[in-house]
Amino acid sequence: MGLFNWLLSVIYKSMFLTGDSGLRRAHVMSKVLFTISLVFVYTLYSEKSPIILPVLVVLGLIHAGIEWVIAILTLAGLAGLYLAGSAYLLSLTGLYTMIPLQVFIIALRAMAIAISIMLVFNTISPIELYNTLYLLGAKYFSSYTLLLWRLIPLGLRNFIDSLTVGYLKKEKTIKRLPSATASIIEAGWFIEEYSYWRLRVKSKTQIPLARTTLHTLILLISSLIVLLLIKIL
Amino acid sequence: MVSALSRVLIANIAECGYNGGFTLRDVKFSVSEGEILLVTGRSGSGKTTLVRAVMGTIRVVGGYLNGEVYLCNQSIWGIKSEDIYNCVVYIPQEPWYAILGYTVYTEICHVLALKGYICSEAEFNISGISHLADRLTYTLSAGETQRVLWAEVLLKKSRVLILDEPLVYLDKNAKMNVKSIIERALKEDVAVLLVDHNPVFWENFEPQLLHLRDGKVTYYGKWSHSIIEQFATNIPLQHEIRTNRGIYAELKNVWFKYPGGNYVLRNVNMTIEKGVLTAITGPNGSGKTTLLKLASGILKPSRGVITRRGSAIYIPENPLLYFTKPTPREELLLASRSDEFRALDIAEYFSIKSVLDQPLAKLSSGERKRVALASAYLSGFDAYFVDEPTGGLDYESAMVVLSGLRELAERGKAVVIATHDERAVKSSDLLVELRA
Repeated sequence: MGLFNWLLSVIYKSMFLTGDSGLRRAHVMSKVLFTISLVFVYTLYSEKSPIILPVLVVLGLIHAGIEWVIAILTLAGLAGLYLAGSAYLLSLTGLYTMIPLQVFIIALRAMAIAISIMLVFNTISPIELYNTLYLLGAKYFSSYTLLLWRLIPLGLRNFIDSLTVGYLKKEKTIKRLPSATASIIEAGWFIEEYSYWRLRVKSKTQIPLARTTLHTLILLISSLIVLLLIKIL
Repeated sequence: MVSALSRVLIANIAECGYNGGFTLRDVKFSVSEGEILLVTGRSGSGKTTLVRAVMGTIRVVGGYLNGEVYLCNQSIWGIKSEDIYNCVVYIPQEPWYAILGYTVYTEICHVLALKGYICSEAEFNISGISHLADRLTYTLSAGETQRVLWAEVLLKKSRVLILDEPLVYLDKNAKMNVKSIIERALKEDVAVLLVDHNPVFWENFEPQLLHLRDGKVTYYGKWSHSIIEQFATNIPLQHEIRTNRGIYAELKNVWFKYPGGNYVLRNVNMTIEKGVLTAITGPNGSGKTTLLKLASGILKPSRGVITRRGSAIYIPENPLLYFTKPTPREELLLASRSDEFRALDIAEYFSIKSVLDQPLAKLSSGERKRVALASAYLSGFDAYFVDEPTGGLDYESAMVVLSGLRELAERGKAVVIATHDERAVKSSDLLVELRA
């Protein structure tokens, strides 16, 4: 498996490893409060943001376990490495000076932001979006939220499978990309055809979502801890 | 004007097809409540095109329809989306594309939400898929996907059931279950339009028959044994059991689990031999595809060791994922390193010469499978791992594919297939059965 394939697999795991479990089952208000607390940290105290990294990692473990945490840490690590590395390389031109500790802090901040984005994305429940659109009167459009969560991982998986078959066929990744991309488009075409009538029918009820008090409490407590850590330290 | 209200599906098609491509002409039939019409014919004869015309989706895929189709007593030109959705349940040949929910729970609950019902645990228990409810739909095997779609048949209670090759990915038990679901549907006055290359399975129902060849109806009428014998040959392949010519791969204590899932395979020990056609069978979800992917190198085991001696290729059950080029000609030329003579020779062998310049995405499922195999054949790998190679193929096409696979084994290649098809099992030299 090539580097590109590995990277895609990590992205796939970070975004679509779980269904409606973990923090997705928390109450929507706790999710909003958690997101607000993170936005607060990054807009007003961004220099202190690495402090909240342990909280984010623990939340990740509670949400989907070690496999998911490894995937998001890898992705966030790559983002951190890229930003810190480019900042350091730019400093070598003499535009500004940087000490190794500053480079390290840039990496940690980038990691914290990346993990936060992944966590917030993973708390979004497509069922909740579906129900919200239904309540807002977008009764045709609501089905598209489910379609999106179906199509993106399916397309990503087809893409990875197609690239891996190309690897077995001893084709260069760059040459395989058009056909791998075509496999995503074809998946979209087939889903559109087979669900053609279904996507043109209004939803008549909401889809029930089993919420858990435990995950709601965990998110609320985490929001509080994040704010306290930022204020105290 | 539709005269008989009990005829819930009426087709009077002068012509339908794809501009500059395949056309289907003069197709007329009707299906009444509690009746089955079985559409059969060779791969590429127009079965799926007919289904698209009946479903009113042929224009969605860039095709056209001259004629009339009535579903639940309404013309498809004037029927509301909601009416057609409520009237018909459609299970396509590629079941994984008919799922809209990202989990089995959302899939079933969405179907019910469109009908105005709030889903509960009871629906999952009734339809026998409660064990799958929390699964992500993109982690389901093809057989499990079909089971979910069958659950929808039970829950949706539509008046027309359209099934395109419904048995391809199902194990023996699930096939029998399908029979009982159809039996129940007929008792509830559901009209069934069934597309199957193998009409014999449906013999007990004595359905109406519609046989297609090259886009034309060659028979439409009552079930008749003589007609079936005329169109469907099912002579098992005669062959000598080959003996191995050395070991290609060894799997030692192999375990595997998909990200976020449980172990699909546990402690698998297996030797893959050269010069032998090995068939892997087992119930839906037992890990047949996973085993092929592991053995070919598509996946890496979570635990255990796999050693291979030579190159390998994996042909997925969806052959579109195999191709590099947009047309069969370009694909075969790439595989043969631009040796046109060899490419055409193999195209002849796999009966795909007539579709060489058509876009791969527009080919029938059977044609795509044959092109993929022809391309792999030309590339000259040491081992071939093929998922459901004969799934949905008529007898002649299946024999072409199986003789191609046997030819590879004759040449000393290791050939491993995952299959539910008895014809493929009978053609193999070695059978590996996985337990659920």
